[in-house]
Amino acid sequence: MDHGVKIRMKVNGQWREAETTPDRLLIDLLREEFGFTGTKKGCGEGECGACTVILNGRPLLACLIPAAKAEGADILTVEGLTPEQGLHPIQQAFQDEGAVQCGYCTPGMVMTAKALIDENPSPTEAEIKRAISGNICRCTGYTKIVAAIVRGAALLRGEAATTPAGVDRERVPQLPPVGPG
Amino acid sequence: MNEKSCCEVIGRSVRRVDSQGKLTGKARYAGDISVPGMLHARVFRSDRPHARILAIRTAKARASSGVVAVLTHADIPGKNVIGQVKPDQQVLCAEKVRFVGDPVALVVAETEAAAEAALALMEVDYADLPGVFTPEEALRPGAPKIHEDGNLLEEHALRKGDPEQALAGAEVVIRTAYRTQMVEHAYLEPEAGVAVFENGRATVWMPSKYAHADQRELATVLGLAPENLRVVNTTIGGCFGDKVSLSAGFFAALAAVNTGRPVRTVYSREESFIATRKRHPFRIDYTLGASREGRLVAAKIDILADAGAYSASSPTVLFKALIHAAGPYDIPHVGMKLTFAYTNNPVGGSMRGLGVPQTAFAHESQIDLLARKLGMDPFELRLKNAMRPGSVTATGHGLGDSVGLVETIERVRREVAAIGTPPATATKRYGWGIASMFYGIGQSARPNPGRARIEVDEEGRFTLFIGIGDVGQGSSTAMSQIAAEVLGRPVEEIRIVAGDTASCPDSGVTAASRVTYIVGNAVHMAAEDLLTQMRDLAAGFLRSAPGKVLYDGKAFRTVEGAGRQVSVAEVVRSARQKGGELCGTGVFDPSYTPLDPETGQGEPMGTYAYATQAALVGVDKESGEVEVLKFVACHDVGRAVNPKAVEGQIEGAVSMGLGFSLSEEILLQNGRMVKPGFSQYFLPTALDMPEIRSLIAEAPEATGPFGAKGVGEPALIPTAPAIVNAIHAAAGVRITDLPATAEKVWRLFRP
Repeated sequence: MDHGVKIRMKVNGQWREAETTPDRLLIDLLREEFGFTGTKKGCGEGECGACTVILNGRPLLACLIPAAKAEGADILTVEGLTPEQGLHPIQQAFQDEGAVQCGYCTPGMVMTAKALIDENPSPTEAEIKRAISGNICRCTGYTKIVAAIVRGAALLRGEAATTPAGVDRERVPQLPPVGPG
Repeated sequence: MNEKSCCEVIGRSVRRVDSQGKLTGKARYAGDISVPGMLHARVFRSDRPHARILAIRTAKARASSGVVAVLTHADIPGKNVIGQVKPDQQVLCAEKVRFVGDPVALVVAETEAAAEAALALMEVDYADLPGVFTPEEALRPGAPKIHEDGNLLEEHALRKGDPEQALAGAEVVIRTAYRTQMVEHAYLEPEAGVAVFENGRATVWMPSKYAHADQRELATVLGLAPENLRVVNTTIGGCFGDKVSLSAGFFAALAAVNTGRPVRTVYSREESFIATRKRHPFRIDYTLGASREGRLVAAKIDILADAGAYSASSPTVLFKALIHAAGPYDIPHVGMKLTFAYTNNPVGGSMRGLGVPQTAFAHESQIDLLARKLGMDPFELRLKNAMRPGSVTATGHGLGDSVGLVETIERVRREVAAIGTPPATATKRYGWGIASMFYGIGQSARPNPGRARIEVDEEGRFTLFIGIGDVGQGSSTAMSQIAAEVLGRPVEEIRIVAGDTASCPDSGVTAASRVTYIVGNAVHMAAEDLLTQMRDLAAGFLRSAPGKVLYDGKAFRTVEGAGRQVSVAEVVRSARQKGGELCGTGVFDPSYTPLDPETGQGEPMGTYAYATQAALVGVDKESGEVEVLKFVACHDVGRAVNPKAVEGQIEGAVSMGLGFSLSEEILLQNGRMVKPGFSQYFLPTALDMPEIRSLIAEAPEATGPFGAKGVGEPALIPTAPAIVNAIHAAAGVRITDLPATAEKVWRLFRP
């Protein structure tokens, strides 16, 4: 067995330490050691994007990098994105647009969207599709996810969200005020 | 029903009841569950397609660091046999393996890494047997026998009228051979399960769309009375028909019972590809006869399916294919023969549409070819033959009033005309293709009751118990909406427990698009039942007759009595003081008549859904690449309980159908999967998706809850043929075997 190494990283705003083996992947450390099971393991080979987290401001597949490589890093998972009360505007937009079905790709999608909007506050649909092209969703056909990211970006820009597209516009619930990121 | 007019909640795109947890990461999927002292079990699987097991040597694996136990068939406390339709499969193989991936042993260790490492130390001596890898080979005389009683799994026929004579006299006859490929469900959540065994009782947490069936089957394997095994459904990360029967939770439970410690089993993606069931590949020989005016007169259909190594849900798939293979048309003479054969390939299971996406590819391609031959507009040809109220299906089922097919064809036609077709460029050609379908809601020609129970507590809060799990399509939301509508409460005030054998009634399985229609009816009845009980009690309180008591969602009052009212909570408290318990129950089982074993004639389904879809594609004549640019889908769902969820089903199905038609295929070499996993299995990404226009048609079904039928599988069924027909319209080439890869299309340009 490999010898343990001590590593330290900031996860969701809090410094954490763990002893791990050099071959242990970041996803397993986050899920099994730190209990952040919101980050999903869909393939373990960097093909599906379900494990996307934000590391030092960039989206990253947590199943592809050894935990030891994240020494000193600042990591945000879906748990850290979620405010104490309610939802982050991107999450809220996913909920309002009906962009969640089985939910297994959802945290990775939300984190990819967050990284995109941080870098590009007004992404076009084409830019959104490119950004999430590494995140597989088998349920939704992506249509409502793209709409949710458009809406989430608008909410984060402080714009009143446009009514979501859909078959019954008048029945869409009112949005609560935009909370802090 | 409450006195407010219908409908406050039905027909509204309310927020899903489960999206908050899924968005924040709080939703618990089985692989997220940790129990103190938990062990990890991994399955050791056959790497041979067909072999006799001579010896299973576990000593080295057992001696490996961190390993607690290595289990084989000898360690199964109960019966080592599964198969919900036909019991022909072992949990851990004893004498023989029949496909690459057949489970042979279970390695249980302190960590997942230790279990994984020990898998490499397992030694099994095999005597290889000749393998059979196509259904044609399997049925040849003298073929190696995969099962004792031969390789023919199931064979059925259908006969309506005199198809041979009608075809002989038909003015136009089109005969074509079609092939469809093996497809993986590719739900994003790999199989997982966690089990605890204490004091002779086991509890298993697993994604289970039918907890009661898993409980019954697993209990026999574990040698437990069913009441000593509790199956608790966890959040299901997609299933599309799979995640049924032998799965990770079964292995976790077996390990827990043997070691006495909690155990978790999680499949890797590679294992999920290798071990789980697939969509059956079909070979379809289709002869369609018509008059010169385009009236369909006869169809003769021969289907040969690769069922893989075990029966699994093959019989279910066979009957769905038989019922629907003639398409949504009134054809007086139909003959069919369907043959399902065992092979040493991965097991054919149930996947969204249960054989009907395969048969729809054939009948809708045939209709398109016929339209070309007759020089008729394909919309017109479909309208001429489309099922209408009173039409008779191939099984001889006279249809009722809820037949919205014509509306779906007409609305899609209008939409397609409005969008138009782009002009050809130097290398690209554009064209529209259309396809229609009908689909029977629920399981075919057998009882499949749905049950529901609703309780109300002393605070007046309602809890709905149903045995079926939400597979992601939103059934828990739809069921909550139905209960909320009847009980006059907002959806978020209805608590729901879905799929726990300790508290939920057996509602049947989440499959065959049956939940909204069948379980939805049971929920409706349970809510009405509870309301009646409460109203009766309230009438006593108010010294009035139940017929004169009004209900507003919170309280009852009399029609005439100003100010006199009693709340739901008061009614419940008073009932309890008298030792009574208020609880509404509902059971619904659609009526059917069995199919005649010789002729396949009968009325197998309670109701049918209908749809028409159209695809606009661009075909690159240089590369053969097909791009789907626009998509129009119109579905008769009876009544859309939640329109946004219906749209979600349609959009998701378009992506799945796009993969089925253009890119997805499990490639096997002598039963061995070539590169199992996502890297060589081409699932559609966001970049592949067309703009989708979803249209909802509502031909209400009198026996459905608020008129509802279903949409989950219907959404997928016409997608692939619409795309393939569009390729023909654009580029003049006909794809008869799926998927229509760029290479295949390119080759057709260069014969």
